[in-house]
Amino acid sequence: MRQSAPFLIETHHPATFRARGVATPFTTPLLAGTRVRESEKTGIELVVPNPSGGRGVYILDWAGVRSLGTPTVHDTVLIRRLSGSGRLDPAAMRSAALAVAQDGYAGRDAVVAATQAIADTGAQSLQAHFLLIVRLVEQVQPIGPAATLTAARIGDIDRRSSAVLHRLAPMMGRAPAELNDGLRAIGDLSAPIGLADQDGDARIPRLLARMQETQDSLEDWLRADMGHDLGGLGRAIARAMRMAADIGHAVLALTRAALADPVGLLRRWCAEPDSVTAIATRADWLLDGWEWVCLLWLAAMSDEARRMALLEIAQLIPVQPTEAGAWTDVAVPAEAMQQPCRVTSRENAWRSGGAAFALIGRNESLRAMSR
Amino acid sequence: MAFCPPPLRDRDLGGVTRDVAGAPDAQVMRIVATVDAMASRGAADDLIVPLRQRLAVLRPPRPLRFVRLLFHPLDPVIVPAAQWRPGQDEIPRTALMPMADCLRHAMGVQARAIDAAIRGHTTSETALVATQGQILWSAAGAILANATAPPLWRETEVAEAMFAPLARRAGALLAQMPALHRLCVETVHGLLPPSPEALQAILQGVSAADETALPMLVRLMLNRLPQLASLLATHPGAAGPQVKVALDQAIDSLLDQLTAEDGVQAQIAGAGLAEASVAVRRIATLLRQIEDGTVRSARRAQVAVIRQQVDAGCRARFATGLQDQVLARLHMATDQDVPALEAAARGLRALETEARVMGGRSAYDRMLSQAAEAIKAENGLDRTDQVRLVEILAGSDAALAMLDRRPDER
Repeated sequence: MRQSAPFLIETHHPATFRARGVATPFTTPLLAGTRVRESEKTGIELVVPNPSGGRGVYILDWAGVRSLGTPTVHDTVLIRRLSGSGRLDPAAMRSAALAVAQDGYAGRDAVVAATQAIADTGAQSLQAHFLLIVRLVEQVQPIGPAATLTAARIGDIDRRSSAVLHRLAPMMGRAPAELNDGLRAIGDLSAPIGLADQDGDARIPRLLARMQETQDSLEDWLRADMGHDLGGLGRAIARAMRMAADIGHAVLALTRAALADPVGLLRRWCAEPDSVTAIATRADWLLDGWEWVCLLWLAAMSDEARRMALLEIAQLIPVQPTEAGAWTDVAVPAEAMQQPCRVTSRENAWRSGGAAFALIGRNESLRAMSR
Repeated sequence: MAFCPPPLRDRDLGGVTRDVAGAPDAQVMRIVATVDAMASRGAADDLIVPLRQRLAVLRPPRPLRFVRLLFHPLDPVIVPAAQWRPGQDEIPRTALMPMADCLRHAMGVQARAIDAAIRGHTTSETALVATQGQILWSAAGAILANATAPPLWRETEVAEAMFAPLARRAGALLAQMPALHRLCVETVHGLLPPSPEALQAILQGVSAADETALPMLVRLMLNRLPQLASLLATHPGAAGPQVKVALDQAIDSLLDQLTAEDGVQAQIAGAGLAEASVAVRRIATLLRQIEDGTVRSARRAQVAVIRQQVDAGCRARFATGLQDQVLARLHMATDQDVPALEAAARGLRALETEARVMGGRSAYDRMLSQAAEAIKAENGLDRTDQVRLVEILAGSDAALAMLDRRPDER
């Protein structure tokens, strides 16, 4: 069957995060910056940036992507997994990507990294669930600071949390077991945030730290030599990253504040679970796509590699959808909703032909650096 | 009782150097490392002589020394003394040490600081080479322009009158190396167009210091940024005619290198996979500009023959690489070997993709297909490793077909 030529949508200002799609760690160089989103017609579809670097995107299904070029097995397996996964959000993407990496399709180093990341996620979910229970008990029956928990008091928490859930159950119109399930679900959702203010091990604070490291490194490099800036590209990227990190920190603080009220969260969970999901995942949506940007920069060691990284990053800067402004209590500057820079090129030699093989290897290395 | 080897006498070296010249790559690397580690190399240095050409392509990390750092960017125009003739646009290797000696004396404390900074490091540390090198290269221009032949020059067996012009040329080139390095970095090796002002400044810099060094400069430029040829061919301004003459001479030298008996062997067939694919891309870029007429060359008619030679070299390199670095290692491969197998397979595909512009399409298809079948038949490999190797060598469609096959079909 003859396929029609892909149609370029020249103006792409997504209104919502879901319309923007989820950043996807494809290893095929030509799919850099491609996002995946839900589609009523085809289940999922891909938002592929204009390969020339110019304005616009292609909205394609997987067959359409295959008509543009040959994706890696990793990317095909990832898309197959996503196609059957139901709701698509950054957490679902991460889970699918880790599973595919763990199966070995992004190379052996990525297997080790994915296995560790999956184990860390499990441990952080468990910790978040436990801390939520402690906070719930503290909120309903205050017993003192959680930091002083001893083994005996942990046993005591078990007993007391059961009592608290039994007490809350009639008020919330749910069975105690259902409330416990709700707490576990909220724990899973909030694990990437980390409940404690100083929790730097959770994924979002780690990503923010990585963004800070990237920003510092980029700004130091730009300061060292004015010529590094590539006509203002470096500064535009640094500014966009600073803005995203500022928004990320503010949203992290707000989300942690919301998590300090487990009774309120549980009540909302019973009435409208999606609203709790929205609160817990908004930092993930806002920062979606920035980890790859950081990895690209941090993996580039020489001046030449860093210049190359700037050219690549210019295509990948996540643009906030208009929803971001209304979706959080944090002010999102209008600038964050515009593409900060573009690099157009007449040819793709740097990421096609013989160069593509090294770039696939590089992308797999970045997968192994992902945490 | 410990065995103490007898000292190596000069007359022993003839036989040894012959053996060394034919040694496999791994042995060459070991020998070079051993000689490099010797405090006093003396006659052992002669062991390295027949290996120079292979070292140029194998590029083992060498200990950074003052003289090596100084002439690092001029490597493509340095030739063995026996090949060098007065008036040639090249620098004899024996001239390096005396020139470095002049520079070391003139720089004094600064030279000792560079020695201290590079001690214990190797040529693979590109950032260190760039930072310390730039201090050295910038200083070299003025010092070598007026240097007089040091006593060491007598050992080169080159006429004393040749020292000054050679030193002046080397100095003129070295003084522009920081700017050339910057130009390469700024263009991200050809991805972005070069700044015409920067290019002009480099050409003018060499021209002002020693016009006779221009052909060598152009050769160094084309070696790193072959796409500059078309820009140099249309170079505007007063220096235009000289630059065009230098370009002609540089292209002649580069084509001579390729058509020499072992030219393709040195640049492709004997090179590492990554270097070979870069070399093929560079050669293809240069030949394309000659063929399409953007660069005029009297030797345009030779391009077809050169393509055939390069094609043959590429196929030979690909075939040996596929056999030695992938197929021969499949059967005994452990988990730890898989990343190296994949890296070799990627290197082969990069070379093959670049090499196809020279020819050999069906030969590559056949070799790749045979390799994929061998990998599929290799039961000792993990299934995912097999799929990934087949993907790299035969493409993702072949790998997906393998993945989607039911277990009973395997």
